[in-house]
Amino acid sequence: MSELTLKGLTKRYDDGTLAVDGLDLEIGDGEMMILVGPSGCGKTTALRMIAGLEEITDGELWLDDQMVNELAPKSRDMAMVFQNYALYPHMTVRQNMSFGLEQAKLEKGEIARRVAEAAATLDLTEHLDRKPAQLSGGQRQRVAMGRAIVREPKAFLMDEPLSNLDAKLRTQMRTELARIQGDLGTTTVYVTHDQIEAMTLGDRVAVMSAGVLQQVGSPQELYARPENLFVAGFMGSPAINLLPARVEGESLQTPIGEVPLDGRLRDALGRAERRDGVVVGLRPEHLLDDGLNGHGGNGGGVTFTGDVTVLEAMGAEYYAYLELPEHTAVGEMAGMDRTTAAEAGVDPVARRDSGQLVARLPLDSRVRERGPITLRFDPARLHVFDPHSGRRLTDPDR
Amino acid sequence: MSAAAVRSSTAGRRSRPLSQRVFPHVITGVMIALALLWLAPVLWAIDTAVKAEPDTIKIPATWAIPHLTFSAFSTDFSASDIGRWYINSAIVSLLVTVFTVITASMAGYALSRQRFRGQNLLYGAILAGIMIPPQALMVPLFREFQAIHGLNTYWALVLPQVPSPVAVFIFKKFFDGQPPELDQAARMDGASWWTCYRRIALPLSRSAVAAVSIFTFVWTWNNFLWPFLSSTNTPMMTIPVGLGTVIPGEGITNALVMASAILGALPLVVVFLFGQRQIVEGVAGTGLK
Amino acid sequence: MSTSAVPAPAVRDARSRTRHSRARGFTGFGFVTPFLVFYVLFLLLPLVLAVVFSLFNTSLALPGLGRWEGLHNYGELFRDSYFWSSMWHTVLFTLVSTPVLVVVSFLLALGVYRRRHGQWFFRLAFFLPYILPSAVVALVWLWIFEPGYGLADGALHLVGLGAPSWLGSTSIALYSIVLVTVWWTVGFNFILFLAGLQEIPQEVYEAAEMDGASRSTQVRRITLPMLGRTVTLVTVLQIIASLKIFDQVYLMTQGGPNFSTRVALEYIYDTGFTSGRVGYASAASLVLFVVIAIIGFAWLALVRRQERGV
Repeated sequence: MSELTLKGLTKRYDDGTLAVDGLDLEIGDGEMMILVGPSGCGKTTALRMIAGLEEITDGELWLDDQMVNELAPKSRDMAMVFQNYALYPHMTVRQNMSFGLEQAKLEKGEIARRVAEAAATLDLTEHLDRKPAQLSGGQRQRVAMGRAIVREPKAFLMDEPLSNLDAKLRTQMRTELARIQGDLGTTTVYVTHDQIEAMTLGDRVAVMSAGVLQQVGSPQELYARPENLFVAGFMGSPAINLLPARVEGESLQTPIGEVPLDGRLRDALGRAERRDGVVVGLRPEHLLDDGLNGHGGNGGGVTFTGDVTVLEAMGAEYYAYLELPEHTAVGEMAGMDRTTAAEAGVDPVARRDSGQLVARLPLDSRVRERGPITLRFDPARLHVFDPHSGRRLTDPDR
Repeated sequence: MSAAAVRSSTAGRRSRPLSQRVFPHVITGVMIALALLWLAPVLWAIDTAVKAEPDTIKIPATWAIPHLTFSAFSTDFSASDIGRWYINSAIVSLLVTVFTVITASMAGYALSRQRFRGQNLLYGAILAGIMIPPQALMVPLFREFQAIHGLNTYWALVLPQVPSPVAVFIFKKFFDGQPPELDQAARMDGASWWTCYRRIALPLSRSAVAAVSIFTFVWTWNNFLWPFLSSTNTPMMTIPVGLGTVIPGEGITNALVMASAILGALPLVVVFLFGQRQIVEGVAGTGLK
Repeated sequence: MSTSAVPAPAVRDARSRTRHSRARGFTGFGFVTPFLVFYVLFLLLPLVLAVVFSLFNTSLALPGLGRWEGLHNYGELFRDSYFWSSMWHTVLFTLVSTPVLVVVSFLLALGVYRRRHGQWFFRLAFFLPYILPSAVVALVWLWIFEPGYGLADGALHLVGLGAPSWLGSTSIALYSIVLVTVWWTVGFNFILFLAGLQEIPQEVYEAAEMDGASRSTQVRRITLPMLGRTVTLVTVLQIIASLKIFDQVYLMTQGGPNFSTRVALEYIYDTGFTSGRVGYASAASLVLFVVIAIIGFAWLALVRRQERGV
């Protein structure tokens, strides 16, 4: 059992590219830590540095009380699951799973016992003598898992292990993986670009962008109190609504209405670099259908009316997309670097330019496509961000 | 639909000009004729070898075989050292092939997978080696072996034929095409570089190994100049060198000489007939990749 | 917060904790070493020795380097008309054989590559001679060229033509050797072209057909441009192979009649081994070597440019 500590872990390539920039992270014993971010954010490079497949340019990597920067991968006692599984195509499932144990010079009986046990856990027993090419995608994925499990390593390193599966199998394996990791209690670092995977799987989630760690915390924390615009936009589906806002007198002018300044908002604005403009964020589920009763009390909050342009029936609920009555690009207003946002993949800023807003509404809502709807929201649900630094202004850390 | 309409529509479909319809058949005919022309010398050699000696010198030359006989083959086997040359060729070709595959695949693996100082320089030097024509260096190489009294030994026959920069190049390209995750997975599994090479990379390179092996084997078997220089004792000769000494001498020996030629060519022709695909792919891969 | 330099707990594992970057470099060299040993001993060393010998009057019959000659061997070489005529024969052979071997092999490949049936037969017929040892080729063709009794004379007789003296005439012998070489080695180029042709996707031709291109237009506008790299490769390999011609000449004519087929390697062989002038032959070797190397590197440069251009 073991703890992993990353201190200022940095990877700079020969051409000067900074792939990972001073990553600090402590991963507790038995914890499942998810590294999440858009492609190119450095999460896989970070994982490969932990594995020893990539040299560490700067910083330190500690496994328990040992600094392992210079240790060869084979001496780190970690097991890795690769995105494309990297099964040895010329070996049977059994040989694939035994390979690492043979390298560790375990005795035959012990190898057989461990392989049989892992195969049983993963429902692979009847496929042990097949070769990878004869297996389905899901089975291959399980063999890759099995190869890691039999090693009984200090840590599992997983690089998007589910991304090659189809949607249904992915959900199924996600649950399975969480169960196995929980049972084994092995420290795990799990890399994914899929924020839903990150939310459902991790004890804690570390969000990365452009080589820099944005925020670490439990999935709930990241969702409820995103540290900055990037995290806010990245976590959650459909993505958070981000809108420009201006302070005028005793209220905050937004495209969805005038929000009176209360103590919370006043505090938030007090932290802004400049008071002229901020970005407000509102989760789609916090926009309520004003036509429905008993939905968060009546009368409270701010209401506004807009036209529904697209209505998506998701089965259990509706996603309603609204044209904004008056639309201003958040990016323009804030003078933010739009390419950065676009590269980040979530594009919270550019999306605003389309002047769209999304709300999650219950099925009993009488919302109609191309019809008007009045929505209501509680100002306490508003997140306020500084447009210049992107930092969260509401609800500061206690 | 009326009969006339049907006829006209068929005619329409066939309305390509006559030349275009006939053309493919003409090509086929020409190609078959050329192929037979290419096979003619081989057939002529076989034809001669199974004639009785006096029948080989009829004027004008004829394909007809009045008396089929295999006596030339049996004479050849008893009179020359051809059996011994077979063994030499087999030993030399096998050893060269094994050494070449091992050394070139190891070097190719390191150049493809590992990172070390001076790597690019080394790779450049090996690539440049492709341009070195060994034939042009026969004099100093001979002198090298003369100095160490190594002529007329298997060492002299085998060792200089081993370094094959092209083989290194082929292996490197092949390993470049293998997913690097396989190696990385093996290294995470605690395998050393040697184990990665031996247990993962090499078993997955069967086609490259086959191509390089076949090619090296054929080339070594047929190599003339260096074996000719380095083995002057008849019992140390390889097949091509030995056959070079069978150039017609006293009396009428046409059938005997052709029998020798056929016997000399036979092993590789058999190999070729069985492994045509592999050989052809090997040659293609050597040149193109 | 504890900072970087706290190596204390790690010390116990000091041995397995070798700087693996350095260890990696070490194994990298370890893997290359066996090859390098052969490479240095049998390719580089002879090259260096050739340079050294060429500066001495080293003799085959005597041990050691012999007397220092400086650039004397080169001076003599440049005045030696036999050397220049042998170089010219090599060049002539190359100039004649290369276009024939490239064009013929290309046409053969073109005639075969779209055939679904019987392709194996054509590959067999055209490639089979390539796997024959040079000695076998020489024996068979000596017999074919045999005045009166040979197949060549017989064939010409059949169509009512008189036969030339294939290997006995100073004006014809070299071309007879070109003929033998074409028969012998065209299969190699043929296979390279065949592979190149078959790599061009069928859809490209289908698209061209839809655009109304005729078969000959397809060859000119699609096949040839897309085959550019293969054409360069085959041509250069052929040039280098032709410059290295020796086996056929040595086995069939020994450079005769009257030195009319004596090529560069035959000349080097004659001076080095028959006359035993190792130093002088080394100088001649280096001249040939440089010519071949220049063509090789010119090709590399060409390929680089093509790769950058395409």
